[in-house]
Amino acid sequence: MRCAVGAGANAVRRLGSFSGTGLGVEVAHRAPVSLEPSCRALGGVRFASLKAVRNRMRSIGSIGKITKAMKMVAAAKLRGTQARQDMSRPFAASVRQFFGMLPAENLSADLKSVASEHKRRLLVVVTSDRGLCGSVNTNVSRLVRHVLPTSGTGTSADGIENAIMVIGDKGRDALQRTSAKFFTTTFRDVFKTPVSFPQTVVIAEEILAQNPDQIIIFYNRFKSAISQLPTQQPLLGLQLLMENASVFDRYEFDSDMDSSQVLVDLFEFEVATQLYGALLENSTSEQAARMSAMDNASTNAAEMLGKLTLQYNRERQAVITTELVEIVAGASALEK
Amino acid sequence: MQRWLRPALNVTRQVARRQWSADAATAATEEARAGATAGEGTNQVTLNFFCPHMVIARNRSVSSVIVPASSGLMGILPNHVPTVAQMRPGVVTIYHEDSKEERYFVSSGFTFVHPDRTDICAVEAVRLEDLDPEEINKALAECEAKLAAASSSGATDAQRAAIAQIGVDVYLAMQGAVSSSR
Repeated sequence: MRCAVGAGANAVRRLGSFSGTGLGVEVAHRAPVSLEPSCRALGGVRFASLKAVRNRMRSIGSIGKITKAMKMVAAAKLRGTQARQDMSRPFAASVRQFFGMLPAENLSADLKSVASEHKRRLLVVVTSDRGLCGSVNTNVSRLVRHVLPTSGTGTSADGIENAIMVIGDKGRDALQRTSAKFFTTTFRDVFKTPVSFPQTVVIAEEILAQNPDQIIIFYNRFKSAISQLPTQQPLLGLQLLMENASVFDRYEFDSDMDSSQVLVDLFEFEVATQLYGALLENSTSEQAARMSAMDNASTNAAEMLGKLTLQYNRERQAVITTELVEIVAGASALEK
Repeated sequence: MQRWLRPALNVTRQVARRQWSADAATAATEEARAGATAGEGTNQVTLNFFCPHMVIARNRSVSSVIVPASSGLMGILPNHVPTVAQMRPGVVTIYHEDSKEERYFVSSGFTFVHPDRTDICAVEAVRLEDLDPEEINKALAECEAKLAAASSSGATDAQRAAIAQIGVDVYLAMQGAVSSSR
């Protein structure tokens, strides 16, 4: 008896701990597996088993409610961020288009050819502050790990020194374990309020202060509500931009200062706008991913609750039948 | 298809369609450019006017635009030389074909005059009519006071003085723009 209750309580506790870590999807997949054997073992001990199932049903029901509410919240937020992103996409796109004239395939070659001069590469990793949003953060950190050198030193095989700037708690947690030595700055609570340009400028200034030779921004590009694409966007550092300035010869630079100063300002503007675009894309992706993750979790919880209810009712019916049989058998024994 | 996804997907589809149409429009301007280089010459400027949080104009045909470039006001007419212009605080005036004009105050940003279109990327842009002269005067006085305080306390406050100086510049430009429009 004690053993049986223990097993039931254990199952409940496991479920509870899953809900604590918040892996809604996994809860629904794993839990029934752990339940089945414990219940079968409980076959003879009816009441304890029924109680265990009832407890599980209750907790699964409330998890389902929570995930459903989270889905609703994410859907509402997604609508807001998507509308905002829709309004600001062209802004970043038009600046990106201008810098698209730079021969992109030459960039890495350029970096390699001057590798002896000790180049610095800054990886700007945009992730969310909060979890429960599917695999968006994992995908980005995986992409970052591919770029980072596997050896112990900070320089990769082509002689480029790497540094990481992380925006968002989740990316920091994910990368800290393997790549903490590359960290320069981390930002948190960036997505607490809607992404704004002044806020982005603060981060961009931090990037510019490090004066890297190449900047790579990692983020999730929002393709649709069910598809987000982990993306890396390389930007040329100021020095390399100056060396490649001839591609802009078609354009006149209008300024009261010399045109190199315009290029410096333009570079700073580019970093800020591209970062702004990346932040917006990522916050939209985050909400979309959270919405679908939470929807899956709610579906699974509902399915599981249905299975458990069936099991519970069967078992209850069995208890009643057994008791009836016992009474009838007892009565008929007395009659004889 | 799950029911909850539908509204979101619809939005996405709309967005996708809009982007597609934007692409189509770009292609159209591309064709127009091909026509222009062939010697026909267009008499319209294709204007894009963006700021970080909104789109003021996208692929709109206007007769000319005046932007506050840092070296002075710059008028952009059809077939303008490709230019990159840094903007200072000032007024962007858009002249429509029906000789109506639209005026926006921009704080800063860049204007890219491409062969086929003109992109104005402003950090902040508001309609001139939406500016309140009294608020401008108040903010200007505040910034001037800050500037005086920062510059009197010596070199340690150079950064604060610079910030106040920017404020003074912007509000002065704003004041000038508003008073000239009335």
